[in-house]
Amino acid sequence: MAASRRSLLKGLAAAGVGAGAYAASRGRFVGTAHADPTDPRFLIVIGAFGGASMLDCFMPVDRADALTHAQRGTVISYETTQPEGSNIRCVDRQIPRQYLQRHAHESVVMSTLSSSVNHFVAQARSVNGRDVNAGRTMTEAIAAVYGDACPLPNVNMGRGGYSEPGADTSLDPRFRGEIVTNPVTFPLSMSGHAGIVPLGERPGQDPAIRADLVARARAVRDDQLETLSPFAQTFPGARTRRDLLQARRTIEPTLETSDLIQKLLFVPDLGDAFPLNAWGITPSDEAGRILDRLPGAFPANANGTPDDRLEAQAALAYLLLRTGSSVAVTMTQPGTDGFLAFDQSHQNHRTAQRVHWNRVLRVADDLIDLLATAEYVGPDGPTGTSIWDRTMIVFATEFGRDKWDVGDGFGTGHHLNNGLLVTSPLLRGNQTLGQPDPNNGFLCGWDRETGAPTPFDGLEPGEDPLFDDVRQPPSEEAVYGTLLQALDVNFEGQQTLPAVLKRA
Amino acid sequence: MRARVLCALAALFVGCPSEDAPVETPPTAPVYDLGEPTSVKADLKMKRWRQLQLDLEGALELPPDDVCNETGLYDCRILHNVPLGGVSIENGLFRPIDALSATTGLAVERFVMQACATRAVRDAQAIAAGETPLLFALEPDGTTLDRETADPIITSLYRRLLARDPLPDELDAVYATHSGIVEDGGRTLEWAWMACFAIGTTTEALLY
Repeated sequence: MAASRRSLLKGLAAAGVGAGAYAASRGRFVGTAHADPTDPRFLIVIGAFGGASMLDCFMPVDRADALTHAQRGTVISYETTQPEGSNIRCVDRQIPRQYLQRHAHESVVMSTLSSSVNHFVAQARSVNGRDVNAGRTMTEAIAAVYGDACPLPNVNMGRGGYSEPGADTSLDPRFRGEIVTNPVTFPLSMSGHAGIVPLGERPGQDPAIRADLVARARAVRDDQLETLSPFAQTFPGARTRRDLLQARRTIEPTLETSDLIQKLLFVPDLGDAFPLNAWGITPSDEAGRILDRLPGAFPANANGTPDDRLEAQAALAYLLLRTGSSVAVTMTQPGTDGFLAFDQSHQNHRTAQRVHWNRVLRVADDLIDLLATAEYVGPDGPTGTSIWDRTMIVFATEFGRDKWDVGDGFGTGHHLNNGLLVTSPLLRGNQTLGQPDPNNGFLCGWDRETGAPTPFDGLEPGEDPLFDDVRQPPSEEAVYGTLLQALDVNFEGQQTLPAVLKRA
Repeated sequence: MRARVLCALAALFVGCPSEDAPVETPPTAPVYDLGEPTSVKADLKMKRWRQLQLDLEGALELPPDDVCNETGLYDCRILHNVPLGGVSIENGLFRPIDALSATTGLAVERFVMQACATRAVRDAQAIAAGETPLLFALEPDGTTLDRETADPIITSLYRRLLARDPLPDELDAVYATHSGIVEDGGRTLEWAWMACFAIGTTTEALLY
C-alpha cells in the first residue's frame, strides 16, 4: 500500500502535477496529507535550557525604539539588523546574522505564550503541547509514526523536562526516548561483546571468534538455563524478566547486527585517550567529516566527556539520522556549567542570552550543514535528496525572560511571553510571526491564517498586556499541533496555525 | 471433643460405628510434580549498576576498579550508569528510568563479560605462574575437558553468582557447550569465560 502510494507520488512528480508532488526546484515532498512510514520525516529538538528569550535574538526591539520608563527601566533592546533577503530581524551580532543569512529561508520565528514559569514543567510542556496529543511528546509522536523500522526510533540527550517521557501509557515503549547522557561513549552499549577485550593472541580476543562464542553462550543461557532454573519456574510471568528476555530476542540482535557500536562512533582512535583500534573497534567512516565541523565533540577526560557536549550531541544526532537508526532526537544546550545555560540570565541577562544563543545557533548551523550534505537513502535506495530536506529543528525553550533592562549588568526572571525558532525546509520559511512591542517588551500574537501581527494597541507606555488578552501569541497546544502537521503527523483534536505551514 | 458430641447426637438417630468397623480409605488424588511454586506477585526488579558491580566484585573477587572498564579506560559504573538504573545529576536526570532501556541488556552483558574476562585472565596467569587459580582450575589452552574438571568450576560459578548449587541438568548444559566453543576456535579458557558470562547474565543473576 505504502509502496504503491510512493509510486503514485513519483508518477505525479514525473507528470509535474498537483499537490503532493515533488517541488521541482528542490526535489522534496511538500504538502502530503498523511504520514507514510516509508517516507519518514525527522525531528530534532534542541532544548534551549533556561529560557532562550526571542527578544534577545530574532525578535528584538531596536534600541532606537525602546521605551524608557521612570519606574521600570528601559525595554531590553539592541542594535538590530535584517540580512538581505531575510524577513527575520536579529540582534546585530555575527552568529545570529550568519544564521539568518544561511537559514532564514527555511526558518520561522513565531511569538508564543508559555503556561508555566517552572523550568521542568515548562520544558515538558514545550515538547508535549500540554498533553494535547494524549500525552505524547513531539518526538514520541514522530517515532510512533515513522520509527517502526528503526533500532532506536527516539533518542533523548535532553535534561530535565526535555527528557521526560510523555504521559501516553498506550505508547509502545520502543518509541519512548532512549536516554543518552554521553554521546561519545553511548555507542559502546550497542553490542554485548564487540570491543570488550583488547585484540590479542587468544582466540577470545579475535572479534569474529568471540562473536561465535558469545552466540553459543547466549544460546545455552536463553534456551536452557533460563528454562531449567528454579528461578525461572518461580517467576515465569514476571514483567521485568519477560521484558529482558524479549529484548534479547528483538532489540538487542538488531542493535548488534546493525553494527551501531561502530557506525555511531564519531570519535576516531585517540591513542591512549581512546584506544579504539587496539580494542578492535573502527569508528564511523564519517568521523573525520563530522569532526571538521564539530571539533569540540572529542572526549576531554577520563570519563569520556567531550570538550563541548552540545557539539557531541549534534555529532551523534547526525549519525543517528544518517544511519537510519532514529527519526527523532532531542539535544539540550547543557550550559557551560552543566545546569543553567540560558537561566544564567538571572545573574546577567545580556551575557547569558548572547553566549547561549550563539552556542545553539552555531551548533545547529553545523548540524544542518552535515545533514544537508548527506544524501537520504530510503527503503528503495538513494533518493537524490538530502536528510535535511526532510528534517525539522525545533529550538524548544521553556519560557522567556523579563522585559526590562534596569542597568548595571541586570538579571531577569522568568516570563511567559516569548517566541520560538523553528528551522526546516518543511515549513513556510522566512517568516516572523508576531512582533516585539517597544513599549513593554512583549511579543504580540498573530493571525493564525495570515500571520498578520495583532499588536497591543491602546496600552499606555510601560503598561503590560494581560495574559488573557486575545492579542497574546498562540499557546503550546497550537504550536505542537502545527509542527507535527508540518511533519505530516495528524492526531485527533489537532490545532494548527496555517500561517506556518507550506501551502500545498 | 466437639466430634464426640456430634457423634453422640448422631448416634441417637443412626448409631455410631463401632471401634472394630473397617475404616474407609479416603480417595487419593494422583501425585503431580508441580515443580517450583510459582510466585503470585512476581514483582522482580533489575539490579542497578551498584548492585551489579558489588555482586561481581564479590563473586569474582575483583578490586572495584577492575570489574569493567571500556577500552581499558572508561569505568562502566559511570559509562553505563543510566541504562543500569542510575541517575545522572550532571545531565539533570534526577530519577532513574522506570523501565528497561533499549541498551540495558547489552550494557549488563558488557559489565559481566568484562568481569569474567578479567577473572579468566588472572586465573590463567596464576596457572602459568604455578599458583592456584581462584576459580578456573583448568588447562587454559586445552581443547578437551572432563567432568571432573568442569563440574567443580560450574558449581563454583553457580555458588558465587547465584548463591546456589546447579541442578544436574544445568551442569550438563553448561558442560556441553565446551565442544562447540572448541569447534568455533576457542579453548578451555574461553569455555570458562563464556560459562561465567552465561550464568552471570541469567535473569536469576540480574533480577531480585
